[in-house]
Amino acid sequence: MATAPPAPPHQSAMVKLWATGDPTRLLHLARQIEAHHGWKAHLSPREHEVFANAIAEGNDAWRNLISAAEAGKANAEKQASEDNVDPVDDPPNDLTPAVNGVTADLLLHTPRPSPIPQSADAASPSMNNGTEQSNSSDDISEMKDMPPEIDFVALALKVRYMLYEKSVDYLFATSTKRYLGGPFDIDFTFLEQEDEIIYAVNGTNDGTEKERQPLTRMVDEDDYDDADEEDDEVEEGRHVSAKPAPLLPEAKPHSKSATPLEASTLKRGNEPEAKLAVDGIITPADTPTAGEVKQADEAIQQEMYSLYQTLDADGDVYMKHVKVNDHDSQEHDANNNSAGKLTQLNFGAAHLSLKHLLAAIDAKRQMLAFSDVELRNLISEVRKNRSKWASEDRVGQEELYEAAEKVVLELRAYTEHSTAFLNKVNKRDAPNYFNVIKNPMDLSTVMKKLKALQYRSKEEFVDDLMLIWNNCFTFNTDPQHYLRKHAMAMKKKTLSLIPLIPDITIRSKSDVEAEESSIPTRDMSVDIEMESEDGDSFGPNHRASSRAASGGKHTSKKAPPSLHLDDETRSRASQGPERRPESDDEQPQQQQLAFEYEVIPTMPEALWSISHKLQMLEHEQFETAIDLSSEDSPFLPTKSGLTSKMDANLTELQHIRKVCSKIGVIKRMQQQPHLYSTQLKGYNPDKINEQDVDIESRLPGHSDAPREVAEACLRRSVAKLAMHTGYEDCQMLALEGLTAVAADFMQRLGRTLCLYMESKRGVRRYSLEDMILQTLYENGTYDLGGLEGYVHDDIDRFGVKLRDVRERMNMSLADYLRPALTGDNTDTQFDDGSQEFISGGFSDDIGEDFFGFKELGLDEELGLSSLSVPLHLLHSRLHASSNVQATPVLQAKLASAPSFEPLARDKVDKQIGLLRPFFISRFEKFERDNVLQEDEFLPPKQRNQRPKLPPTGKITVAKKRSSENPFAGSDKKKKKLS
Amino acid sequence: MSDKYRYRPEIQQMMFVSGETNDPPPETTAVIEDIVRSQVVEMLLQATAQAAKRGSRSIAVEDLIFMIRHDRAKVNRLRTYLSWKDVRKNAKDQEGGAVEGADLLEDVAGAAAAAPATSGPVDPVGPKMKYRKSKVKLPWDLINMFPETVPDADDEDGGAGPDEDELEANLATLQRLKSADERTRAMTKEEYVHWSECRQASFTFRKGKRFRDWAGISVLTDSKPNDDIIDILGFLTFEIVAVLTEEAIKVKEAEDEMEMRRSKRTKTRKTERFLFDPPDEDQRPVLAKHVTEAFRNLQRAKPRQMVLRNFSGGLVRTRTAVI
Repeated sequence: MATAPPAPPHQSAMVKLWATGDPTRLLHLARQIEAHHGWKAHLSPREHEVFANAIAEGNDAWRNLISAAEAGKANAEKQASEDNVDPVDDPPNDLTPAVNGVTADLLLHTPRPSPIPQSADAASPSMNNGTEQSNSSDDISEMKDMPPEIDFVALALKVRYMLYEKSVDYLFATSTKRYLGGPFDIDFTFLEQEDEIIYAVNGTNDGTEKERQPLTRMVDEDDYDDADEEDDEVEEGRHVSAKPAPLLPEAKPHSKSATPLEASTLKRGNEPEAKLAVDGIITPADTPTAGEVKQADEAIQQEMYSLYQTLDADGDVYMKHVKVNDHDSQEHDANNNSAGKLTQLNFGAAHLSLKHLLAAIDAKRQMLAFSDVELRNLISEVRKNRSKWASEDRVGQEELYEAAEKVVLELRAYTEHSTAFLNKVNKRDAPNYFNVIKNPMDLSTVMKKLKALQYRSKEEFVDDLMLIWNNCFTFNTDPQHYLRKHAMAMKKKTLSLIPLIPDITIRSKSDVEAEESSIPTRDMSVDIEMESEDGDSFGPNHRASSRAASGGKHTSKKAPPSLHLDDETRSRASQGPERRPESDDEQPQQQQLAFEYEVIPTMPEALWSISHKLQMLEHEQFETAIDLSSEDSPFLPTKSGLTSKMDANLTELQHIRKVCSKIGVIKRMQQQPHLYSTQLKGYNPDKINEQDVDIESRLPGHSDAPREVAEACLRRSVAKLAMHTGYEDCQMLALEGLTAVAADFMQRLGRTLCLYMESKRGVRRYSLEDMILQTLYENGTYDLGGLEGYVHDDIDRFGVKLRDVRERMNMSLADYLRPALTGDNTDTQFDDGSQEFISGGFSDDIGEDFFGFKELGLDEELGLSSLSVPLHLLHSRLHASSNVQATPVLQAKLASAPSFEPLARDKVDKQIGLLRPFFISRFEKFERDNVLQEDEFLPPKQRNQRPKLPPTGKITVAKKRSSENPFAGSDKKKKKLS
Repeated sequence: MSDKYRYRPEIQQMMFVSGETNDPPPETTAVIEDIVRSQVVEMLLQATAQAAKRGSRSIAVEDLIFMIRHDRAKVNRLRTYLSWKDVRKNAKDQEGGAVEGADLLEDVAGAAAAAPATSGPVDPVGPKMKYRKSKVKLPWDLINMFPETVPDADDEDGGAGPDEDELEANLATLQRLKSADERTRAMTKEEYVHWSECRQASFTFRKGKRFRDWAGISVLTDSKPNDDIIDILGFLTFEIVAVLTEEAIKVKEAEDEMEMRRSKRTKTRKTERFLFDPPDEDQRPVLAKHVTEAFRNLQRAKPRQMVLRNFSGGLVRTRTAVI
């Protein structure tokens, strides 16, 4: 009897389960998975029949099945040995009798000598009774027609694979992201409960639920989302009562629990408490609803889907997968298997938005020429990459927000109940509302928060939603209050929708990357071998963890083999039942599976076990080493010598380039009639940041410079020199070439020096200094003066020149900007040498960066008080100013004439008598004004245009006076007079 | 012989200016002339190739300068020379050819010494300052490293960069001026006139046609090079002769020293000198062999040219170096 291991119970229990390979518990696990329809995706219908039989029958048949591979054939009917652990080879047998004789077989079985410890998870299997039983009769009848040509070995392997896979999900549930909804979690609790609860093998019930659900049912269930859970249960009951299973009278359908009669039949002599336990556990309160089942189902699928996304980049595997898919789909069509239901496919949260489409497609499935695969691909393509929430930096945001948004929309659309919660509670409606409710919340606020990206996890989002309903309950204490009903309905709806939201916590990209480098990748494969039954053979089966995974995530050396969940399985999971390609019996088992799971381990196997401890150790050292000596690495450029000077020069260069780009933008503004902000590209170089090329080498045990590291260092230096020479960019290949030359040169230097040192014994003895000088001479540096000259000319003076150039560029930038900044009378602004504009001392309180000037760094220079000034205004100013290049300087020196005082009606008397009648008539003409307007302020059409005098001085054509303003000419006179 | 060598007097004058006090024999000048011509041909060929790389068929000033780019002092001198030439041309245009007789080299020296030119317009400062800006811009200058044109430095805030360049250019010229000063210090008026005449010697000045024929420029280049090119060549040829002469004198001195040592060793007896002894035979002119040796020295492949062939063996091919 296995005892429940201490905490962490789930994990260690699982480890133990696999270590011992206890078939009973495996069986239970299988049933769990069956309960979630997990098998259908992996088994062909016929295989599934057999499998379902096996798990229905219980231990013996089950053991036979899973150990079938050893014998090469399985016999579901054959009696198993009494030993629980060691499976016995069985002679080959036909399947059909097994199928037919399920019940008889069960009855014939003698009670086990020692009751097998069977942990029970009563909730999960029982909740499927209702959902699955309904179709059992049809299935059994179908089974009879089945030709007995199932490859048992393959089947056994598949079953094992599935079990492993589920275990993996479970094992990694704590360490990785989990998308599973609540109900699925209890699947594994049986591992702990096994001591407390002895459960009955309620085999037949499960045995009948092997068939997939019919299409209509699935579609229906989607719609049930809207309904209450109670409705679901009622629905289940109806289904069950409508379809009894005629072939299995013993396994009479029952919706909630096994009757005592059945229980005793099925338990095959187990303790009577078992029945009691079953009965006792399944109380109505505990009964999971079909809705939950479905949610769990979707959760599984969702997880698979998401994994599919993440591994999509595995090019080879993916191509393989595509091929297999094609192959499968063809075969699938050829076999005329029933088409998979699209509604069963998983599109995550998109299910909500696509459900009608999917339903429609399913309804007309027969008319479509597409295979499942094609349809699925189509739909995934449709919804791919269109999310507005997608963000590079925030990992998981897209999935979470998309789902969350859909949920909010769905809730909003639930109009019969949602009206009260759409908007904020108005104080007028409920004066004391805010006294009672401290944290008001409503759907629109949630949406706002969504749009502002304020949620970081599913939890926060759900909390806010729940806050709405709870606020309602808090405020409206009257149980009869109508709003409570609404809130209740909304809450239910919310609860039904919540599982659709992936449980993601948004993290920044850098975090994820950092983590990825430290957690072991799951991209490992495990071959499912029969030898792994006994725990001793685990060692060699360990996958190598990637080197990067050194981070000690493996809790024990005997961690269970992790399964590689590749895209093949995922697609299968969502494609519905399909036949696998028949595998040859003669092939080694490895091969049969490798067909799909041909994944190369990231490292040779041996490395893991050997270097694991080492890596652990190293990891610790790594941390400390980096903490301690972050500054003095041999692979960081020294701070002394020319480095600082060169860095300064490089920064200067970048500054100059920046100014250049600004000037370029302005120039284009002047030249092009229209300019869009997209055309303007700023120059924003990264700050020069030199990182340690090889941090690892600081670790005590590491060898000094390995070749690659040295090369990288040299390349960095060469790149810097190239930059210093004036290159903005360079191709990697060119850089490599330069580096090679540089390395070559250095080697020659070294060899020359070596020669001189070794020639000591010769005629002439060189002093050390001589040797170095000679070496330099031989390699092109004739004297130290050359080196000195280099430092002086190419670095120091270069820097000086650069600063000079920068100054000049700034000046010219200011010159370019000047026209744009000159307002009407703002020449005074430049009295201070326009430093104000260069330094950008103002315009900090800018609202929005309408044209992206800020991005370009132009905002400061343009010095516009508000950047909401349309670009074209500024642009036209610049444009005009470039056309009118030389405005005479003289004008500025003249004092501008005092502005004319507009002539008001009451001042007409002061004018000279000759003009008074004219002014009066003018005033009468424009009755509305009390002030006569100057020509200049009239709209252009009314203005009298001054006749232009040609260079000859003669007016050739008489200027036509504008009829609208016949007196405009005399207006001029007036102007002069006043 | 006389047909082939047309520049004997010029070369003699140049050698005189460069330090050769005696009248060099015709063989020497012939060798030098040959060398100079081969250098000119080489320069023209290289410049044409360079221009072809640019996609141009005619040689530009930059192409010529590019060949001597490593000799910064020379480049700077050349630039100064060109800018002063420009100044003079404009001044001539303005003042009706008053500066007709100005000697280029003198101007270079004058400009380099940052002093007013010895000869020139009446008010040299005005036009010079005005045309000072017309400096030859080289494509590999820092200024041209950026996508936007860098405005010229104003006079008042002119950066330190140009000054430093000039300083560098001056260093060599100052050296030359100093030695010239030493040599002219003891000269009589007539001697000095002769000296200053010699300083004006040029292969090209007012002898453009002759120079072209002599160097076979029409054969070497597709298009007729403009005056600037010819002037630059004139400048460079003077430099070549000067360098050659200096080097040859060094060779001769080394030879003389060796000779002296040997003679001292052999005939130690004849050391007494008398009042009426003929002058020392030491004052021999530079001979052709000295020039060829000097040229060989100058042409010898420097380690710098062979660095990348170190340790790899094989024949290192070198081109004729432009002096």
